[in-house]
Amino acid sequence: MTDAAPAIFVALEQSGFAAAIRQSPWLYPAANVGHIVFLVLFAGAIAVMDVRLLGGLSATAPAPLLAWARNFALAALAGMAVTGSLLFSAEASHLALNPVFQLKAILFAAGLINVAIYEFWARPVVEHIASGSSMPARAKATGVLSLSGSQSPLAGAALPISERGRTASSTACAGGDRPDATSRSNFNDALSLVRPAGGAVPGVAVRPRQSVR
Amino acid sequence: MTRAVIYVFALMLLTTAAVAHHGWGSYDANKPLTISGPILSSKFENPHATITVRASDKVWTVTLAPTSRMSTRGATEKVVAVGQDVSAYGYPSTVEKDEMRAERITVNGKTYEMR
Repeated sequence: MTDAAPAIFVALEQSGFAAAIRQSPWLYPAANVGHIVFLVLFAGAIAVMDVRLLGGLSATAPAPLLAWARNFALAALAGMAVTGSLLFSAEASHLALNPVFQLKAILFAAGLINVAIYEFWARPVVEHIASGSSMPARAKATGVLSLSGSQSPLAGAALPISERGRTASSTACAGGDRPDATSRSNFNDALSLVRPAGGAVPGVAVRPRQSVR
Repeated sequence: MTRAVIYVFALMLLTTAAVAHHGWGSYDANKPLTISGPILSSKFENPHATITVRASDKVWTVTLAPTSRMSTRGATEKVVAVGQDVSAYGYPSTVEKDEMRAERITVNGKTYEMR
């Protein structure tokens, strides 16, 4: 907990709700897994929409396909919101000050702009297009925009992963550890959710490492 | 088919775990240090356990590992309880003063890997 964060985040982190998340052995890891599962579902649904706007999947008229994928994406987003708020509450004061998290919030806002462009600019012109027809330039532009960079929530969520991957391996080298140590132990953490504590999983056990200094 | 489902599930878990919390990025691996002393406070919580240690120079906040990993490796809540003498090898935070992240800790002659 850090007092440097705005009071509302400090209060959130100090709440009984946040303490319960931290103290549960499974809630935080489960929310962590769920957040990524929903992210993958969300990104897939958005990609289907982008592809259709660009003229792919043209055997199906755009309106029903876009409407279906949109509902799917909204449901996945709701799942991300629930799991994400659990993860955020547990350490709200630190995350509020974390530059990577702040960047993620900005990218999320950019994603909302992308949503507005689709809803108010592109969707009206593709609603009544029949299957097999070519898509108007406006729809294609929206699809390119979304696929190329404005799929921001996805980019935002991916950022911490790459940032961590980079720094974890540099740390590993400096410490003389195996470069894959972090991902391996993370894998074991995840496995420990689905097997009894202390149980061995053949082939993925972490080899005890000795200090090199 | 069943095998494919298991692989996909394992991959999802692996991807997920990589997101876990603030990682090692905000710790300076070029300045490894070892601190030792009695544990003043202990929180066995997710996303990772933390203890404060009265070292020879000052009181350090030491960030450990997620509770599931700690338990799996035998570093239970009792091992890092208040009053235990601990030695922690790790890296200082580049963000928070007097905080470090432990690569491994030793309590009662037994070493536990935190990574």
